[in-house]
Amino acid sequence: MSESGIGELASQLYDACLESYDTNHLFYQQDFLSLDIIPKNDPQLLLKCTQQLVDQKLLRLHQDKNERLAWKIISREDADKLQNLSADEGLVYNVIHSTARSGIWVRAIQTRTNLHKSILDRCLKSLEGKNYIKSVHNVKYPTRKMYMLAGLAPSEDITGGAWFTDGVLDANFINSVAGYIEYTVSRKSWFEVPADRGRTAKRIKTATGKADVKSEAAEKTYLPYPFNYEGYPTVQTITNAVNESGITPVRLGEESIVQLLQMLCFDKKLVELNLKNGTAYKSVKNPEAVKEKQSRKHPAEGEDPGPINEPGKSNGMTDSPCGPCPSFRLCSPGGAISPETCEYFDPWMEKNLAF
Amino acid sequence: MLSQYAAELCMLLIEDHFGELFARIFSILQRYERLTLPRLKFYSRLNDKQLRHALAAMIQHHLIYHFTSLEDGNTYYEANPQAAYYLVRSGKILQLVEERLGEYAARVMEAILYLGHASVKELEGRPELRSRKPMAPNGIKHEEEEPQENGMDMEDGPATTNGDHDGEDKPAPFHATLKALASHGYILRVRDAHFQSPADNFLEAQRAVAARSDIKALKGKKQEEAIREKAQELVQERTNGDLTQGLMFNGLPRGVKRKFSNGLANGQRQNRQNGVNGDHAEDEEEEEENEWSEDEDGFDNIPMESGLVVRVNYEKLDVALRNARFVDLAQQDAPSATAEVYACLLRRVEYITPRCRDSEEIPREKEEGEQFSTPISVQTLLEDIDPSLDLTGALGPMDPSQSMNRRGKRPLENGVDDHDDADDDEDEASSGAMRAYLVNQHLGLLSQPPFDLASSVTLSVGPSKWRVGFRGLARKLRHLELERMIESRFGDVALRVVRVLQAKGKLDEKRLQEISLLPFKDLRQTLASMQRGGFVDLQEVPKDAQRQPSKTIFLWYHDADRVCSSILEDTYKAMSRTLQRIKHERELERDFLEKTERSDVKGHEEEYLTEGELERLQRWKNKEALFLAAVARLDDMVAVFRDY
Amino acid sequence: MSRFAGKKGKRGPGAEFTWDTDPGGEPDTAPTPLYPAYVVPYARKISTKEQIAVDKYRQLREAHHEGPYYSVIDASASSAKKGSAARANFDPFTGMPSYSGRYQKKHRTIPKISGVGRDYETRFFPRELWQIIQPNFRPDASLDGYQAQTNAVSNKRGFEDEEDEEDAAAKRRATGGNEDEGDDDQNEGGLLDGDEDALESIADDDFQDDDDEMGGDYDAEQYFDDGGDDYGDDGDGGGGDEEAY
Repeated sequence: MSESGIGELASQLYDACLESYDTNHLFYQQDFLSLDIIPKNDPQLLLKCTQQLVDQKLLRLHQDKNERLAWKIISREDADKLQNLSADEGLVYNVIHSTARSGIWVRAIQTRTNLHKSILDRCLKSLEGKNYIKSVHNVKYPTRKMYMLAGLAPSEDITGGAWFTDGVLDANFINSVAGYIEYTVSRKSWFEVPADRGRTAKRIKTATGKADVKSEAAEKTYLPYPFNYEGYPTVQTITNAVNESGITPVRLGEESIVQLLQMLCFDKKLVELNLKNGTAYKSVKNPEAVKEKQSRKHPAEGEDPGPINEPGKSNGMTDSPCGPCPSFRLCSPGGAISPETCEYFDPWMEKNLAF
Repeated sequence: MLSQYAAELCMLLIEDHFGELFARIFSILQRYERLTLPRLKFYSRLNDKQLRHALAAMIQHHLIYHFTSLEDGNTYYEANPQAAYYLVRSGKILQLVEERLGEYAARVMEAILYLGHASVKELEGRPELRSRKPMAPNGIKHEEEEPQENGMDMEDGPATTNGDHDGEDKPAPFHATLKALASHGYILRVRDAHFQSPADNFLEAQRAVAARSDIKALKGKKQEEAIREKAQELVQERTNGDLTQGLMFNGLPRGVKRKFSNGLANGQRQNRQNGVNGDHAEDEEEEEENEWSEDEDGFDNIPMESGLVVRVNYEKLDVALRNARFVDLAQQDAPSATAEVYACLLRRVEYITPRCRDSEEIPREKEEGEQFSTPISVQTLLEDIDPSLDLTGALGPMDPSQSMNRRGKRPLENGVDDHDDADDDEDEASSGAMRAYLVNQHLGLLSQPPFDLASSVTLSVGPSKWRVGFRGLARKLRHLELERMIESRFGDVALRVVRVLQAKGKLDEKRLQEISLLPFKDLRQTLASMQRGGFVDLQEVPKDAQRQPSKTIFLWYHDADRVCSSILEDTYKAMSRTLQRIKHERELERDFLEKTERSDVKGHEEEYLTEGELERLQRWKNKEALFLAAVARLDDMVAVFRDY
Repeated sequence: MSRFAGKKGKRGPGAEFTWDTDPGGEPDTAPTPLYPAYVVPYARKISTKEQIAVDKYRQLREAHHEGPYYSVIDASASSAKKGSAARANFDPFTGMPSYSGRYQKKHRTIPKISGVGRDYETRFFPRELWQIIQPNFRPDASLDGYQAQTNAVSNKRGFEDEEDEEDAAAKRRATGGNEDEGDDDQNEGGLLDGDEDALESIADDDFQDDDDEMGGDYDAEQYFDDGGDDYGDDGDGGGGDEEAY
């Protein structure tokens, strides 16, 4: 058969493959033959066709686990790209392609292609210049230079999940989503007593000058639900609420939300409940308390934080000047630092006898 | 042997209460462990007369143990640090007794503390216990709480003769009160073995057991084991001073008022006092008054055996104080009605719990098993819960879309809809079955996170019962104390990190970041400062023999046991320093304070002191209170780390 | 001195060291401050419950102070700072402020055990203290056969009395030694109490080593006072609590 005949046959084969199979399909000899394109199912002929397609970058050669030969089809678009590449560049491109969304470390490319470092660097530079590949940041190995195809989104393994931006934890984003979650869960964890009871109380409050930020909201009373209540929010409902809220530019997956929920549990803001219909979350504080706490700003470094009025937040060691005393270890009666000469007791006394 | 700071603290407490002489003897005994009189005389540089008198008084106060050896005939003296330490808790103990059993009971308790140990006869003869009213006015606020005083104007002073009180005009309920204290387990019978150190008691018991023929018949390991076991039993038997047996009535100790306020925790008491329902409270008090004098069988007024010698039972009081801490936990995030129901459960649990734990030391965290209280049935609790306590209003409905539901949980909101239903609900709510259901609801809430304060036992027959897991809760208290310190020193970020480490064990920085979701910079800073503070540790796991840092895995961990024991030492030290400081402050004010203590001035301060001086005295008292309250709070931590 | 120089202070033990705690100081040569600035904590307000507990604590402590057992080591000077010059030179007879002398609270140096209206439970005390709690008790009179080791104990008592004297002598000796820095202690002891001279040579060897072992943790003047107490002047400080035996 002539060269052109093979070319035509190959082209027919390619089109049939595109039509009948998924682009990710791994083709074996059988698959091609079953398409009934190759006359008499001649393996020799098939081999010639596939070779030509491989040369045209329309097929990529693979080897499966049992070392059998197999092929994958490449889109014409990609093939065009590949055709413009030098042999080395093609090699590098294929290796990067093979790791898909996981990306690949430069050192790994080198071992797999066996190219010299300088050649490899040149190839990578050229590929990056053509915008075929991009370098990605891996949270697990921040020092490793990694590449993946330009059109792919890095997997969560590499980015560390939704909470990382360019490999750096996005604390502001985390805090805003976490705050939203806590409040949302809280609203579903407490029963809000209908307003008519609270209104009078609120008026008194404002009259005494204690104007709150949310002045339109009446002083609310919240009650916990009975212990066999099943209406607490689940991961799914929380995820939906977050995604619908508009506070996140990207859609967050459940696994990302679970990460945040666990963090909130470690903060003892939420607790996990194992209900009949699965895991659900309940907030420790009621919505009002959550809101108040979130609006309170942290005292700046070195600033006097003021008296602690929250119950259960202090103990003997946090209240006494000895607890946080920087000289505590060295303090002994009669020594240079001693209870008698201590300079902290007087201010402590003044501070605490004042109110 | 006590640690340096604990020993120092015990010495300071003894000095604060009994003066330098006892303190000197005590610290010498602490340093040399056990001494005979001649050796003690030598080391202490005190004369024979001082020593003998002081030793006698210290034995009377259980501040020292003594042991007379059968072999050499010598009597050895040894410090009793436990008794010395508990001096610091005396205020809390008296406050608790007052809250539970009234002002007069607190006065009886104070007399016992003041005397060290005392026979019933001696106590009965104490002039300060003859009258229902305190001899010296001590704060108005107590009186309001004390029902016995209401409506009776008895004069102070020993107007009546001691001895038989029957036939007298409203005498102090001494015997009934003593029985109440005894049946609550707050006091115990003094036994000979209480004067010997635990080690001596054990050795003596071992000797006694080893001499028994059945034990002699055993051999080798078996014999050793049998001796140890039997000796422990014997020590138990010899030191057991329990007085509750035979004094309990229907599972309740004497002096507990059923149905009404004394059966309830302080939370409610305070609510009552602060609340507006003044007349209501008065009614109650009258009722209580009646109950005191008209106890059904007159049993309460039958005197206890006059030769019985009693002292304070610190072990049992720790159970009561620990329970109060558990109630505090419930109060933090649960409705007050829930906390009250819980307090009732804990009261019942207290009656049947002789001590906080059975093991001498707190076991290591991971090796500690749970130890549950005896389960209490809801029916029993219903007898104790104030029937006027609103159990319905504190919980939301099952279905939030309605403001109330058929189960009648929201009778208060019924103005809006379902008006007729609501009335039915209220009737239903007061019925026994409904209340039992509601009690289960409240305790059920506490059985869930974040509380985990109680757990239910479902039996195949009969209604469910509720119990408390002591070890888990004691651990929770310990962790909370650590967390408070960590949060105030290192911030809430640190708190999260420690909890992650607590839950997951040893972690490297990366994994720690993934879970804690903290920026590396913050995480590293926090870990470093916590490491300096001793709250977290770093373990190096080298990957090769060269132990190169680049090839080493660094794992962070939080060892709660180690941190707790080091904080305990710090706490002792802080207590000592605070007491030393106040001693110093008193020294600065000495001339002035001595003036106020002059026999002509004392008790007549208003008369003898100028306005400025009175103000100065008040300022001093406030100052001292601040210091003593700080010490008391530190003692709360010691209790958590050592006693609970 | 302003400890709260504001922003420099930092909560917690990682506090920065600041030099401006001493406004008049020379910053360049200032040593590391003993008390680096840190913001002392606020304490939670004292609750009613705590206030009651504190008051009860003080009440009990007060009772103990007023009670028969509270004893200081030396009533006349005990409240002066140990080792201070005021104390060393304090004269118990004239040093007392006189304006209110007779009302001044006096502290005993020996606990008052008997005659305070208490019946002690003899069985709880070791036999060698029975005479203290029961002044009528005769150690040699045979009691109800309560304990078998009566003999051993009374033998012991004989020995103690002897040692008591030795001990006192040793104290005086040591006292003298300390005051004169080891110079001519024999003579110093003699000055104090010549009668005991004979015993002293016996006591010397016995106690010399132990003195060293004790280190410097006893106060010479105090033992001087104690030595005196043996000879009957303790009643002065004790405010007339003469014992009945």
